[in-house]
Amino acid sequence: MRVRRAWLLTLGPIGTASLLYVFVTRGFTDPSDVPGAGLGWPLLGVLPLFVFGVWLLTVTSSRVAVYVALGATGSAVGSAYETYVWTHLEVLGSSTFALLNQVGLTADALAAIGFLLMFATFPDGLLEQRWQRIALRFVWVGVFIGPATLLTYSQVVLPEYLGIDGPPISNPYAVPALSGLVPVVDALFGTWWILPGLALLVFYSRCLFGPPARRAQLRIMGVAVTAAILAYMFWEGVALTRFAGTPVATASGVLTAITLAALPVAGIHGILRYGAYDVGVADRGKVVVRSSNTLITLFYAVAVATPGVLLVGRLEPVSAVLLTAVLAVVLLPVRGLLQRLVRSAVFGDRDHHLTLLTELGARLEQSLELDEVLSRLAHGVGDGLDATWVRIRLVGTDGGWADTPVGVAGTVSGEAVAGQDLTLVDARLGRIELGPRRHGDYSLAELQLLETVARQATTAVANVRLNTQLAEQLEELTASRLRLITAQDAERRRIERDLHDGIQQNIVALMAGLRLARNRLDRGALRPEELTELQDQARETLADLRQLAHGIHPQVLSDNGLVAAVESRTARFPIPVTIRAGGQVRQQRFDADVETVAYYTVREALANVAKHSGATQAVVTLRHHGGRLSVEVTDDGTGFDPSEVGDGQSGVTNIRDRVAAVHGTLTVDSAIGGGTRILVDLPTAPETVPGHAVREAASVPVAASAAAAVSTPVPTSVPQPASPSVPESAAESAAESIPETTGGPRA
Amino acid sequence: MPDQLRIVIAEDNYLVREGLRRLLEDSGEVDVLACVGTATELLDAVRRLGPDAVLTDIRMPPTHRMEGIEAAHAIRASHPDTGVVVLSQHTDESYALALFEGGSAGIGYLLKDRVGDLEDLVHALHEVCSGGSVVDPQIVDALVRRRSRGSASPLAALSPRELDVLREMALGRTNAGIERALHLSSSTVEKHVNAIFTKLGLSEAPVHRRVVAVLAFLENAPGLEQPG
Repeated sequence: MRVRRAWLLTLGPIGTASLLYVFVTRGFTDPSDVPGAGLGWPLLGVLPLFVFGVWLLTVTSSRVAVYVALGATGSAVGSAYETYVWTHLEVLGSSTFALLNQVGLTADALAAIGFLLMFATFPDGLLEQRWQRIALRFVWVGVFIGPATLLTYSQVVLPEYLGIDGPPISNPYAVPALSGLVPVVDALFGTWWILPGLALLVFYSRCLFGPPARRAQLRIMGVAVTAAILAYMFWEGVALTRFAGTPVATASGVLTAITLAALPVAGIHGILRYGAYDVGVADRGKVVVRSSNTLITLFYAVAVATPGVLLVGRLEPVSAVLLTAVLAVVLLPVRGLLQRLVRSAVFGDRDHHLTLLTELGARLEQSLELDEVLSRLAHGVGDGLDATWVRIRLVGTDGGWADTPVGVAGTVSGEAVAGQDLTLVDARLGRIELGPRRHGDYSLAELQLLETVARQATTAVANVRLNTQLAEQLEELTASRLRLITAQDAERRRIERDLHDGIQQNIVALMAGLRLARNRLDRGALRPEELTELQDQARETLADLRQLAHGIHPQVLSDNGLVAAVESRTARFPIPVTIRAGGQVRQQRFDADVETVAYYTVREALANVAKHSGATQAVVTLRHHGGRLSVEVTDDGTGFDPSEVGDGQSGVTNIRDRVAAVHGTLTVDSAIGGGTRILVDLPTAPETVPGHAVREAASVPVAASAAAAVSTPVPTSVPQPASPSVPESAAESAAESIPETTGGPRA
Repeated sequence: MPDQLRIVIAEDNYLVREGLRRLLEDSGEVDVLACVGTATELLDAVRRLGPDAVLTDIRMPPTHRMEGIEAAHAIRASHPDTGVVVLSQHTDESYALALFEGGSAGIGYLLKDRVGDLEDLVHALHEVCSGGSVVDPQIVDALVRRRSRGSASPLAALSPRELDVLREMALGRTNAGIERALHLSSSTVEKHVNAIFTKLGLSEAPVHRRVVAVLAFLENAPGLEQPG
């Protein structure tokens, strides 16, 4: 909300100073010396209006605040001028009085202009039609009446309310050359009703022909203004002439007074209710409550003090004090009532809107589907900002607006009159668009509120998207786990079959052979070669058994580490495989999980090379650097199109699942005819593998008591036992001078 | 020998197949008509050669699961005069039960461990050839253990000695065979057999039906009527 600071800083001090001057001067002057110069009007009329106007300026950017404050300040300055003239009658004779009089005339004009504009643009200072805006600009002509009379009239024109009768005061500033313009100024100044008439014309045109919503807002004020005008006209034109002195005249006078008093009431009600829309913005709530309480307290103080002040001349001081005290007590409940009334007037249905918007946040948090989030959001914004329609669209994958999901409240028609992007960091996620407001226009504060809501919405949308991503990841994780289990089962079945159909059968054959040999021995027909044959069979069986065990888990991996295991594996590979492993990685032992996955990667990748690639040679490179172990298997085979390898189509998926299980990454580079490169990168630093630290903590020797284990922070970084801390440069150079070992085809 | 058993061997492992052939031929009691590697070839050979008995592996290509059992059922259905001995590496009794599902006459189930015991192997072939049944002692052990574990089982009522006799009965032995195997007098064996039949609710049955009775009882829930 943009407080009209310049107006506040100008009008506030001027009005305050003027009123202070009035109260101080008049309060200490014998009222009988200055006819008509009592405190009644300044205290009951000007002060409340001024306070109201200034308060409005602090809480709303609505233009109506300026009009009210301007009118009240004009009145205050007018009162001050009047007071000054009456207490310094000698200035009437001064040669510069004509200039001083300009203050009175201008203050008068501004007061009239302020109040006229307030009524004409009631209740929020905004007009629907262009002609109305143009017409009302003419009201400002009133400002020039003072200077115009100064330059043209030969006599000083005194403000009417000053009530000073006497010989005309000559105006030394009149320019003779301009005397021809006198009739024009006369016409303006003499026909005072032109400007009020203009304002009334605008007002009534809006009352009768404005948009329906506007007409509803203006109804009370329209009735009040009409009643006041009719009552006044009857009183002036009929009651005081034809029924003078009769009860009809008295009744008419009272009626007129009531209708006139109803005007400011209707005005303040309307302004609070419909005009000052900015009032009630959530973050301004406290200011509004505080300042409206101050306003009521001021009214209260005025109401309590006024009778005492007004009657001070006729009562004993003690009686005046007592009266004030009694009033203070009696009016106390009225003050509470007023506070409640103002609160409901100020917040009214906007309070409801605010609640809606506040609840929106909570409602968004409960939504899990994007559709639902957007729909709730659209309806929340629509209700909260009273929009005819709201549409929320998200940016699709192609950068344009996605067709779904979309959140819509109301029926989208025409162009959006307001909108707000949903922006997360620098990326635009989507946009909230608003159709026209049901009543009036969106205030600045409402648009700012929309901004806040948009931020909330962005978070909600991002959350839902994150949730979706998480769900997808979970799904992938589950699938991957399932694949691992399936692969494990397949592996078990393979081993079972190897045992049953391979080794067990070999032994059965061996048994049959032995039995046969015994029979032949019994008959003395056994030849030594038969036993040699059986021996070969037994040896073969042993070799098979060893190979099978190696397939389940190569003992060499546990005993001698990754490089040894890989070399042992590749030694019987059908095509030449070059192993590149630096001294560091050769000595290094890793987590058993990591070693197994790395070994498995090599095994699967080489199996693929043998099965599919038609390669003539392959290279396995093992590096350990910066807490990561990288395993690279390249071949010079036919390659393949990685995008065409489906799940389970190759060992690649198996590798990916295993690698993912230890938080590693897999990169496959391959092209038809261009060979294949499989790169697996595995974290070896303990803290990057969740659960590792826990394992370390759990393996604290029993001697370290539970208490000691608790007081000792869980080690988050446990150095690998066989990990010499090699400086980075050394590691680099080690990587460069990697010795090569070459495995050949199985002999 | 004129009454040599004419058999066909089905076994996918070359070494085992050749070992079995040489061993059985060496016994002098068996004439191996053909050696085949799959169930399909086996059925074909049976059709062509009409052997007295078949010795078949349980696992064979293409699925390496229970081809031998399926072949046994097919052979028993199409050639009732051909006995089938299934050689298996499964000590799990469910395979044996699957084999005996449709009846036990002329069928034997032996573990490959028996390969070294040439006499048992030849005896089993003879037995199935004459319509009898043979179940490997290890399988019978497993069946009896499983059946007698539940307290509700009537087998729980048998004494250890009676269980031994029942096991021998399951192997298709006659009373005289059981006497020899368990070193018992004929009256003792007869007493045990009667006690077993009484305790299991079976009256005395013909000798060649005894294994059927035992197996039927083992396969199915108690309360079975006396086969008859």
